[in-house]
This record gives sequence, structure tokens and C-alpha cells, in this order.
Amino acid sequence: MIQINKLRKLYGKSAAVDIESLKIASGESFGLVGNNGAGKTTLFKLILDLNKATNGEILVKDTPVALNDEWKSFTGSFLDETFLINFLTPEEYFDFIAQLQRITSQELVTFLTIFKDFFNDEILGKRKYIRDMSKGNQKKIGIVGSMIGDPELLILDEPFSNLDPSSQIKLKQLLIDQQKNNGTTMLISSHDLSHITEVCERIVVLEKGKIVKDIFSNDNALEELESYFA
Amino acid sequence: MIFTLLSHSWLSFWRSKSLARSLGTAIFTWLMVAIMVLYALGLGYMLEELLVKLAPEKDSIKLLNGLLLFYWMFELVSRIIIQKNVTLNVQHYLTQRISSQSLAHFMLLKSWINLFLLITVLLFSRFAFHKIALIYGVQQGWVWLLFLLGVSFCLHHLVILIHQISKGRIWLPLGLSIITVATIYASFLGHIDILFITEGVMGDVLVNPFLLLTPYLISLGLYFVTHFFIKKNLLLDNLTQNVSIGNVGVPSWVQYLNTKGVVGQLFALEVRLIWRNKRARTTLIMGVFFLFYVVIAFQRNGIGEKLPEFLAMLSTGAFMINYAQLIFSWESFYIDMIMANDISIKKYMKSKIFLLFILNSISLLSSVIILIFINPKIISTFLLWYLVNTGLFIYLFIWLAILGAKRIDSNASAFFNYEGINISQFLIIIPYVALPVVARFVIDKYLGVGMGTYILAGLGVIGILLFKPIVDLLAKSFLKRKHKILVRLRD
Repeated sequence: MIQINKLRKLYGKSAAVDIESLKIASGESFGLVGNNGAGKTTLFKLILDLNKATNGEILVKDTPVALNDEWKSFTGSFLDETFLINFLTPEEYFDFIAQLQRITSQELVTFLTIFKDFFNDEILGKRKYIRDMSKGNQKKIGIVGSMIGDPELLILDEPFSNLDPSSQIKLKQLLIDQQKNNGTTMLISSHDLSHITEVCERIVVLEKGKIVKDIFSNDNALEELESYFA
Repeated sequence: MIFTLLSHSWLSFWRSKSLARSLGTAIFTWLMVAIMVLYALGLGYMLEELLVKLAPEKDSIKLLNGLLLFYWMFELVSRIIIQKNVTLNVQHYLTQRISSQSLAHFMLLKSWINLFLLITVLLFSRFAFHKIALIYGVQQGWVWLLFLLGVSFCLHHLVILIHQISKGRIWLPLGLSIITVATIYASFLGHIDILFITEGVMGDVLVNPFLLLTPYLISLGLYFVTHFFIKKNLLLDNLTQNVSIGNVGVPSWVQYLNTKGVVGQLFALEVRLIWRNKRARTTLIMGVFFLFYVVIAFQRNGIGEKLPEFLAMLSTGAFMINYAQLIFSWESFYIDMIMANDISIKKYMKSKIFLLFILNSISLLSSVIILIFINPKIISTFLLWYLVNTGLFIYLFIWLAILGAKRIDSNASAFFNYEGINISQFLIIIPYVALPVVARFVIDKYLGVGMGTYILAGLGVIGILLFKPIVDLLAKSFLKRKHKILVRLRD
């Protein structure tokens, strides 16, 4: 699904991202971990063509993202609050994305029922603009928005942060189901090692922009990561 | 403690992001303040002369004393609209060891730094020391001026009180504004006579200096009542905005557009952006003043008679001029989302052009309605310049915005807020002033009267016909600079 070649993003002289080669297969659930400033968000922004790479290229389905907008039709993403249109209500926001994805209102209503539990009755029908909602609820709106239209590729930056424990557990299950049922390729970054090892089959550790570990999730993955970050 | 808090606000002003980010913006903001101060000074300087012109047979002191009522009513309404609620920026102090007593005093003291008090001094000082001092003595001149200042203080605290009581609900300030404006209007038309009130009061002040104490005593009273309310409202739920919204419905035409493909959808989104974000909304409303300018300009020997081309250009672009300069900046907060979703840049451009086209058409329609009553002969000129604005300037505005997009907070207050303004917005002034002049004084001179306007309108028509290739060009230019624009809109 994704192929990264000799990718470098420099800010001044320091490299925020410096990846020689990385391949992410179709249907893979790919976890990205690293300390603050490791380059996780920058990598996601490069994949979404929101930042310009200093060198190298990123191919999604063999097409460079920088040259062609094709990837937008099958990619869902939520990185931070800049992905929310904060003066809309959650319903209007979902509706906006659904229309872009050519999904009817009826289909949208059916789709949103999957998230009834996750929303915990705090999102829909509240007559509030997104900007007036709590950080946790904003996050939920962004995550669900990115999943509208069953994208083949889903990119989420720290989806578990700001969520309460119950919502974290529910989200974990939602992501596992999404990948299992729809074969979605998922790129997820997180600071929570236990969550990420549960959701993702493959974990890559970034440090100062470089890949320092690339492991496949197994019984020892969590321990291995914990000992690395200790 | 209050001084420490005041020094913090001083620091927060100088270290504010928008000020640090762009020296140009800071200079521009101060320039605008300076211009306003100069206007007030100039008006103050000519006040006596103007009063004599207004009513030569009347005593100008009496006349001004009467008119002061209008001034204060106008000040009240302006304060209601412009003056910020004082309570918004103290959240981080609430949990510190600072008494709520001190916090409330701090908020009130800080609010004293405002332009209205300054304007009172600038406007009326000369009259006080030139006219009143001449007849009643210097001491009375001081009394008169200080009385005006006292009333301004009263109004200041009154408006804070109104904001405190209304807590973000609009009915009280709105109702009060409507009543005040209606009273002014009724008095203007001669239905009621209210000017005798201040004429009498101020006349008494001039003979009895002890009356000077009244506005200050009232002001002091208002200060403590306001202080009480602020102290009571020092809770987080009251400091943050009233979040629940009564009605989130949108007009049916917006809903209709929303179903008309990506362009319609983006257009509908922008309509909501304008309606639900303070700065965007106010910026558009300011366009109304450009339209009012038409009425003023056609007074005797006004610019309407001398250079109607300029007026036509300004009026048919009334709403576009302010809004289009920041056409991408309005979306700073979610531009990443727009770029990461399945929206083609060409359609994105089309939605922007469509919006500006609608704005221009509204400007044209409003101007024509006004002109029917004032000067119907000139409507055709307005129609032609509408073509110039639509066929040339829409593209020019968008192109300049591509070159100079900057981050702004579209929900911040619009008054004296020049965040996002930079040199490219100044460049647009040049063609706006130059084109009508060139049309009138250069092209007309060589090719015959009216030809300048015809030629430019012709170019406008060509611009409209070339819609498709121009959209392609704009989209290409946007894509070429996409990452730069995104970086600039992000921080």
C-alpha cells in the first residue's frame, strides 16, 4: 500500500524524518511509537502531502502522493484538531465528509450506529458546535469522521490520548474490528505501548526521525518496547 | 498585586503571537490607531466651525451641549458593540492565591485603558479651552471637559454592567442598541425633542461647577455594582462562553447548495463559517459602511459627482474588498482537513470564486436600490464597474491571497484586529484607486468620454468568459505553493 524511499524532511539542519526505506503492505495494521519529537506526526503529514519532503518520495498504491490526488479518495485521516471544522455541529461535520465520500444520509445514519456506544450519548443531538465540546469528544468526532466511507487507508495520530479509559477500550475494539472486517490498512501512532501492541501487528519505533526498531507484534513485543524506552 | 497583574497584561500584549509574528501587522495596527486619533483631533479642531455651519443662528455652546446627547447615545451603542467583556482573560489566575476582590478590581482597572476616553479628550479639549474658556473662564472650561470625561466613565462602567448581566445573551445589548438608535432617528426626523435635556444639564454645569461631582459619583457607584457582579461571576462556567446554541438550523438555500456537488458543499460551508465566526461576520458587515458611503458621496460636490467611477468600483465590491483579502486565511483552523480530503483544488477555487461573485452581486443589488432614490442616472456606471470587480478583481484577490495567505483566528474580535494583514493587501489598494482615475483621466481623454469604463468593463467580460482557464491557472498556482501556504496558515 505504502512505499517510502529515501525520505528526508529537514528543519534547518536537523532531520525531523530520515527514512531510507519503508514498506507497508495492504491490510497491515502499522503502529508508530517514539518519544516526543521523534517525527511521528511529521511522517504522517508527509504521507498526507501536508508537508513537503526535502528529499525522497512516498508512493501510495505505486503513485507518488505529491504528484497525484488519487490517494485522497481512499484515505481517511485524523491527526489533530486542525482536521475538525470547529464551527460545525458534529452532525454537520459528519455530513460534510459523507458527501465528499459520496455516501447518502441514510448510509451515514447506519454507519454512525456502530459508534453509538463509543459516543456515549455525548456527541449527537447536543446542539453544540464542535469548538464548544470537550477535548475527548472532539477526538471522538475526528476519529469517526476519518472512518466515514470505509477508507482503505486509515491514518490516526495518537487516537487514544484525551480519551477516558472506557472510550480507549471501546476504540481499541473498534479499530481491531475495522481492520479484521474491512481489511483496512491502518497507520496509528501512540504513546501508549500496551494499546498499540494490542491493535497493531507491526510496530515501528522512530527516534530523531530514524527507524530504530521494526518488530512484529507477538507475546514479547510489549516487553521489548518497554525495555527499549526504559 | 493589582500592579503585578497589570504588568502581566502588558507583557501578554507585547509578547502576543500575532504581534511577534509580524512586525508589519503591528505597525499597521498602530497606524490605524494613529489615524483614528488624528481624525478625532482634526474633528476636535474644526468642531466650532462645523457647529457654526450647522446652525449659524444658534449659540454654538448651546448647540453642542444639546448634541452631546446624540454623542453619548452613539458612544453607548458603539461601546456595546465594540467593548469586550472584561472577564475573559483571567482563567489562569483563578486558582492562584489572589483574592477575587483584587481580580475584579484588576479587571475593571485594566478596562479603563480604552480609546473612548481618549477620543472624548481629543474631540472636546479645543472647544473647552477655546470657546467655553473664552466666555465662562478657564476653570469652567476644565469643569465642562471633565464632566464629559465623567459621563464617558459612567457609560464605560454601564456597558460592563450590561455585559455582566446579559452573560453573552444578546437580547439586552441588542434591545438597548435598537431603542437608542430609534430614539436618535426619531429625534433626527423631528418627531421628538430630546436635545433640550443635555442642553439644560450642561448649561447648569457651566454655572455650577459642583455638578462636576455627579458623573463621578454615579461612576463610582456603577464601579462598585459592576465589581460586585464581576466578583460573583468569577467562576469558570461564567468566564467561558455560553456554549449551548439554541438553533443550529441553516437556511434552506444553504441546505440546497449543500447538495449541489463539492462546489456547492464548500460554498455552504463558507456561509456557515461567515455566520458563526465573529471576525468573518464583522468583516462582511463592515461592507455595509462602504455602501453607506454611496449616500454620503452624492451630497453636494461629493466625490460621487466628481469621480463616480471610483464610487462604483468601491460599492460594487463593497463586501468583497474586506473579505477576499483573507479568503484562504479564514480557513486557517481546518485547512489541513480540506487538503487531506477528497476535494479537488479546482473545485475549491470555484467555490471561492462563486462566493465572491455572490458577494459582488449583493453589493450591486444594494447599490442599485440606493441609487434609484439618489441618482438613477448613474446606475449604468455601477453595472459596468460590477463587471470589472467580478471579471478582474475576484481573480486578482484570490491570486494575491495565494501569494500572501496568513493564519488568522476567524472567531476573534474584528475591531483593531489586523492579524493576517500584510503587504499584498496594501497592493490591492493601488489598482482600486488607480483604475478609476486612469479610466476617467487617461483613457477618456484620448478615446472619448466613458470609454475608460467601457474598456475595463470589456476586460471584465473577457475575464468572466475565460473563467475555466483562469480557474486552472489559479489551481495550478495554488498547488505549486500548497505546502508553503499550509505552513503559513498553520503558524
